[in-house]
Amino acid sequence: MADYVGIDLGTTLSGLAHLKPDGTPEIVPNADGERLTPSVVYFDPHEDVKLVGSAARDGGDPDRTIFQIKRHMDDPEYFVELDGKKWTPAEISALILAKLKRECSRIVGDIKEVVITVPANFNELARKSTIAAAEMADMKVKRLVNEPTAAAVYYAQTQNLNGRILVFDMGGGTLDVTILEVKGDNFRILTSEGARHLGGGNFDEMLLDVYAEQYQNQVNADLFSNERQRRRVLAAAEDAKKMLSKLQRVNDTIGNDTDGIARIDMTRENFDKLISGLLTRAIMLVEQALDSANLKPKDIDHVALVGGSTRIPKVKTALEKFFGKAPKSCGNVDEAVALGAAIFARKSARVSEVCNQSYGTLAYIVNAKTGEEGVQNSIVIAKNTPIPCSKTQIYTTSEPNERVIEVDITQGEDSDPRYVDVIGRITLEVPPNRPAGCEVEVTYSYDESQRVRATVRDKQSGRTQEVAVTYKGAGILSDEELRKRGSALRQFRIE
Amino acid sequence: MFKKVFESLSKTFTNREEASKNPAATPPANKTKPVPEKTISFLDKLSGGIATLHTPENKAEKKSEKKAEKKKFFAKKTPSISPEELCGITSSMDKDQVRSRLAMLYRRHNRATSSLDAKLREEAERMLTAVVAVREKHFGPI
Repeated sequence: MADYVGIDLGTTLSGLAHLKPDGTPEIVPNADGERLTPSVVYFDPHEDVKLVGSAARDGGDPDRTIFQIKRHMDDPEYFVELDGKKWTPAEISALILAKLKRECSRIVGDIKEVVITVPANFNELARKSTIAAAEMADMKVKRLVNEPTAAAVYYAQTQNLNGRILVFDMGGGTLDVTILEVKGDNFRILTSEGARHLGGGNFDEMLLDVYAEQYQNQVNADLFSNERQRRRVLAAAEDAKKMLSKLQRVNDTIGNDTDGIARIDMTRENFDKLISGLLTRAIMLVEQALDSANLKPKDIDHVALVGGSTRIPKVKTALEKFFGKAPKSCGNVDEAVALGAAIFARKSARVSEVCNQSYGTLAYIVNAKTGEEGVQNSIVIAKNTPIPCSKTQIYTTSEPNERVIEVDITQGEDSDPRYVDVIGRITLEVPPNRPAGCEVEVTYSYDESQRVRATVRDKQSGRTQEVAVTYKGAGILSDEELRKRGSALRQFRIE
Repeated sequence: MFKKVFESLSKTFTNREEASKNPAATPPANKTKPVPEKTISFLDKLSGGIATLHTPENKAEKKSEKKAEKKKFFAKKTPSISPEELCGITSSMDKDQVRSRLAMLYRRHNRATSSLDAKLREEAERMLTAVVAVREKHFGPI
């Protein structure tokens, strides 16, 4: 049986690593010999087989291919419908995990228990979905670890990094910036910020648009007319992007069956200009993280690069210019998270985490000085509060004779209610004939599993109502469904 | 004033439901629906009577924020609004105020890019593009 296995279930690429007998982590290749498996699933219409990985990414009908399912792990309503069956994000992820388990088990032995990594700002639903995916793939989750923590563990072990570390994780789909304090085996997370649509995939799409424009200019025709053709050109754009990390100039020919070919010429300088807007956003996310932790760039001891997109030279130079020091790279930047997860599986590292979001309620707030009034988001637990934690705010009822007190549980930092999410509601019945101004205690608790509980107590009557935020939706499976679908999934042919 | 605010809030909730990915799906229990005015209870924050909304120092910022909100509204109708106007940046603002304003807008709209409300996501992308343009103009390229 394989001991100490870590899995990075990525947006575009997934990897599995284990610890060798000497304690060093090692990536385990899949049956195709690849160290990283594209997180893509294809449902063949003719054979009862699910393709996962490169074959799915490169070969199948795009309408039957699922890309970047990780983006939807926190969406309770999301599902993919194929051949009359609805697939939840957890099930699609389970197929990817099942492939990794089956193929890697042939090398390292049966894989029963794993550490899986998740983005630091994954909410409770996304974490539960990840655990559900692993269980359906017949693996027990020893622990969920935040990706930047896993990467920091890897960097700490291999490069002896200690102190205040900013982990800049730019992969295929997302950018995550996390600031931690590392002291030996102690990891204290200070803050974590994420940008959901900021990664290598976005750069590929921008290059694709340039290719299409250049083709149109030269041939006076559309470069692609369907999704399959578009994906092929996208793959060519991705290859060009990777080449531009090594060369100053790339030449390529692109075309289609009907209109002929055109020559594309792209320089690194032009590519840097093309992506500069997105890189500015990336730097602004870094600033946001520093702000959030009340730090300045000079307070950071090391900047650690994670994710394949950090190979882009402009990313490194932008960070070097911002911090005044060169960021650290480990070479295999897209494997650091999986390798760190494997180390974590054995290492008894002490990790102190924080709330990834602010939690509050909607309240009618009046400014005594200006007289301005309106409904605002009133924060009860602020982002970056060390967890577990519990905070109480006192509010008053606004009208006389209220029979029901309703408290909306919000998630988000903004004071404007439009820009926060309402994730739950508590309804508390109170006695009649009471004046306005009755005090109500609202207590929020946040535990180590990123789970939010809310309690509302009417001080006058003593009545209390408590709720744990739960999720219901078309994209969520009940425990029974989970067991059934897991059972079925284990019989699937997955290649 | 209270009624007006409530109406705009309930439109927000209604819009989120409309933006739900699968119209055939059963709405989840945790998605709020507009509650009739008579039964809803908004709570007043208690801190010595009335909560302080704004400090005197950022009153000017809040004023310009309101202006910016109005201008944003007009931006939807007249697409030729400049990035500065979209971001509520005025020529009277110093560099710190510009930076502060851009940071607030970035934080807000970066989060909104993952909203389940399609309109909010669209607005977010538009605003982030404007934020980047203003930042590069005032502080140079990265």
